[in-house]
Amino acid sequence: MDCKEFREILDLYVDEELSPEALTAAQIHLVECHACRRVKNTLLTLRSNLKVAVSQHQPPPDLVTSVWRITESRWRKYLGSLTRVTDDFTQTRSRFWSGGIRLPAPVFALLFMAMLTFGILFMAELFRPVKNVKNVTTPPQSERGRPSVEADDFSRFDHGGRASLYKVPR
Amino acid sequence: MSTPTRILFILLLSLVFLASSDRPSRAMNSPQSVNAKRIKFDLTTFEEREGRRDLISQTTVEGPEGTDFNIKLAGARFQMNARFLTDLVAPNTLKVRADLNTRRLYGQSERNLPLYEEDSQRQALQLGFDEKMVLLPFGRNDSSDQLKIEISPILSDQTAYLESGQRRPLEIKILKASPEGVISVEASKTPHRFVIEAALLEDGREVARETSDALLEEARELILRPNEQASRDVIKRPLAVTLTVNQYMRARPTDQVAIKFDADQLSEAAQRELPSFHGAGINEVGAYLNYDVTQYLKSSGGKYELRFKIKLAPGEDAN
Amino acid sequence: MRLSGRRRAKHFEDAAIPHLADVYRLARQISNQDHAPELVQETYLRAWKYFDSFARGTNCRSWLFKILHNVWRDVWHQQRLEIPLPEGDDTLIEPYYDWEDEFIKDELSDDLQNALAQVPSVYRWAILLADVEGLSYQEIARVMDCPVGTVMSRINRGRRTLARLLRSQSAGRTEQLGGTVIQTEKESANGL
Repeated sequence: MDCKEFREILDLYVDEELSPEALTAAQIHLVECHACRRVKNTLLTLRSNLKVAVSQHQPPPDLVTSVWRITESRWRKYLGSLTRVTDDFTQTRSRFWSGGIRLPAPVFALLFMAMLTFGILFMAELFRPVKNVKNVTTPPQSERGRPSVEADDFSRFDHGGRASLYKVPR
Repeated sequence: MSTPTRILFILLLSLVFLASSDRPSRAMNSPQSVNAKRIKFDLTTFEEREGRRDLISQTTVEGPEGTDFNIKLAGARFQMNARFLTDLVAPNTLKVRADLNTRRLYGQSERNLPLYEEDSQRQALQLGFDEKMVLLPFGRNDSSDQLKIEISPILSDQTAYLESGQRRPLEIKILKASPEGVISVEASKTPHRFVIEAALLEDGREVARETSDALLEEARELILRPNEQASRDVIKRPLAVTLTVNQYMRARPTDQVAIKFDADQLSEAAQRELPSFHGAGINEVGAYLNYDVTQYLKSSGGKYELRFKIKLAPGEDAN
Repeated sequence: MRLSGRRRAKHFEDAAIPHLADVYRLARQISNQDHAPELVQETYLRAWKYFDSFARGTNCRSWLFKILHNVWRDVWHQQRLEIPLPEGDDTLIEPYYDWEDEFIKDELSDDLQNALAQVPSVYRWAILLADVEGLSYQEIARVMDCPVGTVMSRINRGRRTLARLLRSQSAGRTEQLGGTVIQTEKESANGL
C-alpha cells in the first residue's frame, strides 16, 4: 500500500472498518511511513478532542425526572377500570374520584390517620441528621489547667527522625 | 371489598413499604449483631526521660468493631496526623491499617519563606488484645528523651447495641488532656466491609462477572469469569480488575462510595497484556458505575462496558 | 396483564433509560441547549410507545438514536432553514492529502463546539455517531436510513469540514498574535 491509497482509506482505518487484509497492509505502511503516521495521529486527535468537547454536557435533572415518569403510567393502568390514560401521558381521568367513596366513617378516619402517621414517620426518617462522633467527656475541673510538663509542642524530642509504629506484647 | 376500598388499601400498603426506608436497616436482625461487643482503645502519651515515664495525656476511644480514630499532634514546628482504620478479623485479632503523615518545619528559603519536610507512611498490623502498638511521632533516636504514644485495644464489656436496638454511640473520654491541647484525638465509624460486583457488558449484554468482598482502602483483584454469552475474544482474554473502595461518604438520601480501579486483559498464559487502563468514580452505595472500555479491549468489534456495583457487606451497618 | 405491564416497564428502564445521557448529548449537538430536552423527551415517548417493536438483546442505544434521528427530522429539521447540500456523488471520498501539518492540537472545547455547530447537519450526524458514539458504519446507516457508502462519504466530508473550520479559526488567532509580536520587537528596537 502506498501513501495515496492509505490516505484514501484513512477513515475506514480509524473506524476499524477495514478487512483484515487491508488492515494488515495499512499497518505495514504505517510502520514505514512517518508522514502517514502524522496524518493518522491528527485524525485521531480530532476525534478524541471532539469526544471530550461533546461529552461534558449532562442531561438536566428535570429532564431525567420527566423521562423516568414516562413509565410511571403503568401504575395507573393497574387501577383498571378506574383510570384512563390518554395518549398524552400527563393527562389522566379518574372515575375513582368522580364516583365517590362509600366507606363507613370510622373506617375511613382510621385509614386516613394511619396514612398520615406513616407519612410523618417516613419524612422524619428521610431528614434524620447523620450521626458521627459522639459523647466527648472532659476530666474534672480540678485537673484542668495544671499540666505536669511544661506547655510546649514537644519539639525538644524532635531529632529529625521518621515517625515509627510497631507492636509489642503488653 | 369494593374497588375504592381496595385502592385505599393498596395506597396504605405502599406507604408502609416506603416508610421502612431504603437505607440499610439497623442490624437488629441477627442475634449475633445484638450481642456484638465494643472495642476500647486506650491512647496514652508518655515522655520517657532518663528511665522515667511521665504521663502527658490519656484518652480512650470506644466504639463498635470497625471504629477508626485519628491522633493529631499540632505543634508550632511539627505536625502529625496518624489515622488508624481498625477491623476485627478474628475473635481476638484486630487488623489495623495506619496512615502516618508528618510535617516538619525545616528552615527558610532564600526568600524567607518556610520550608517544610513532609513524610507519609502506610502500615498494616495484626494486633491481638494482648498486644499494643507504640507510635513514636519523632521516630527512634539515640537520646534518652522519647515521646511515645501507646495504643492498647481492650474488648469492652458493653455491647454494641442498646436494649432499644439503637447502636450505642461512639465515646471519646479525655482522662488527661495534653498541655495546650497539642495532642488531640478524633474518632468515627463508617462501614468498612463491602461486596463488589463487577461485570463486563458486550453490546449491552453481560458476558463476564465476578463478585468479591472487600475492605475499605484495600485493593481487591477480580478476574471476570465469562459466561455462555461471551464472545471468543472475551473467553480467550478475560479481564482482570484491581479495585479499591477508597472512601465512604455520608450523604443524603444515600451514602456514597469512591472507587478507583486498574484493569488488564489476561493473555492465554494468564499474563497481563499492556496497555492496562484505569479509572475512578463516585456513586451511591448500591448504584452502578459504568465505564466505556471499548477502545482498550482487543476485540473484533462490539461495544464494551465495565460495570461495578458496590454494596455494604451483610451485617455491615450504615448507621 | 398487570405482570406484563410491569415487566415491560422494567425492561424499558433497564434497556433504554441508561442511554439517556448519550441521547441527550447527541440531541444537544444536533440542535441546541434549549431544544435538546424537547427532542429527548419526544424520543423516549416514542420509544416507550413502540417498545414492543424493539428486539431484546439488540443494540438499544442505536435504536434510540434512530428514533432521535426521526424526531429530529420530523420536529426540528423542518422548522429550520437549511439549504440542502448538493451531495452529488454520495460515495465520493476526499483523501487526507493535506493533513501532515499537526494543526489539531489543543483546541478549546468551546472552539470545537462552535466549529461543529457550523458543520452541515447531515455531516454532523455522521461524525457524531462515528466519533463520539462509536457506532459502526452499518449501525449509522440504519440510524440515518441511508446506504453505507453515503455514510462513509458523510463521515469523510464531516471530518474535513470540521478540520477546515478549526484551521480557519486557528489561523485567525495566529494573525493577531503575529501582529503583537511584531509590535513588541519594534518597541524593543527602540529601547523601550
